[in-house]
Amino acid sequence: MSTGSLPGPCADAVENLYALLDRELTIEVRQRVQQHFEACVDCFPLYQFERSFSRFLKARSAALSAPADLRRKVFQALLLQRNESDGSANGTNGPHASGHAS
Amino acid sequence: MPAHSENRRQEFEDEALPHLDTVYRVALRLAGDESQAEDLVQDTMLKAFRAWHQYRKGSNARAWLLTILRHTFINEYRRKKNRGPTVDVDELESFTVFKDHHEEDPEGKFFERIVDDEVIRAINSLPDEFRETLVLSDMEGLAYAEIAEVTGVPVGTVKSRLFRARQALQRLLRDYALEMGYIRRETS
Repeated sequence: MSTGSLPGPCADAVENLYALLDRELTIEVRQRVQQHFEACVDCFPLYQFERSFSRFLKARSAALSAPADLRRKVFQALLLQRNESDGSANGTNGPHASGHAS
Repeated sequence: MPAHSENRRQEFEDEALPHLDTVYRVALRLAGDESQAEDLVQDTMLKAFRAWHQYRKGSNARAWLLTILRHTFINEYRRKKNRGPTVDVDELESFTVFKDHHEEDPEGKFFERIVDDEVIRAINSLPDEFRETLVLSDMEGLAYAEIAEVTGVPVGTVKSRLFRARQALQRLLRDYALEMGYIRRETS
């Protein structure tokens, strides 16, 4: 990522913005970058905006669960596997792939 | 039934199955439709169960499952997938997409007005490697190192893909927001 002709501390903060929001910085760097964003009138709007965007994306993804029917199919497929691997499935392993065929 | 087999099933249920929702959500974003995603999830879980002896107990089951999911998708599903055109992410080198709107809407309030379908459509139009990186990070909360493990690239590549994916997504959502009148077009 290019930070162009930004002053040193601004370039440093902007360079680390996503890592800050993703909690990927060491404590020392995090403190330095966080303090800069909160104090710098030029950089704060970017920080505020990207933080909102990050929260927005997370909020849009939380609720979706695997459908109950899919969960049941996975369980059934595992059950078939277990019988086959026990070698006790003679006569029961005909529909070998029925649990996961497309 | 032999005890070792029962143990294996129990271990798999305890360590792998709790991640089924994550596997399904990522499958949905990779495959693009529910029917393919369900097939992909079943194939993935079955492969994982068969390979369970290779899993190191107590290590990162989520990353392990997502790695299998991704390989299954690339090897068996990607060719079948009928994708629309993807957006260009090459020119996105700095935080410029919303530069003109920071003042008008500093907290990005207009995001809340964008419907889920539009967000999904925008994510789906990212190129595969950018879409998967964004989904694993922003939607599933994986750390950079975990994403690097799942996608088989260095952490630096994860960071660069994440940057470009987010900026491309912002650009798509900005265009949509302008079209819908949620934000104003700069006239300068």
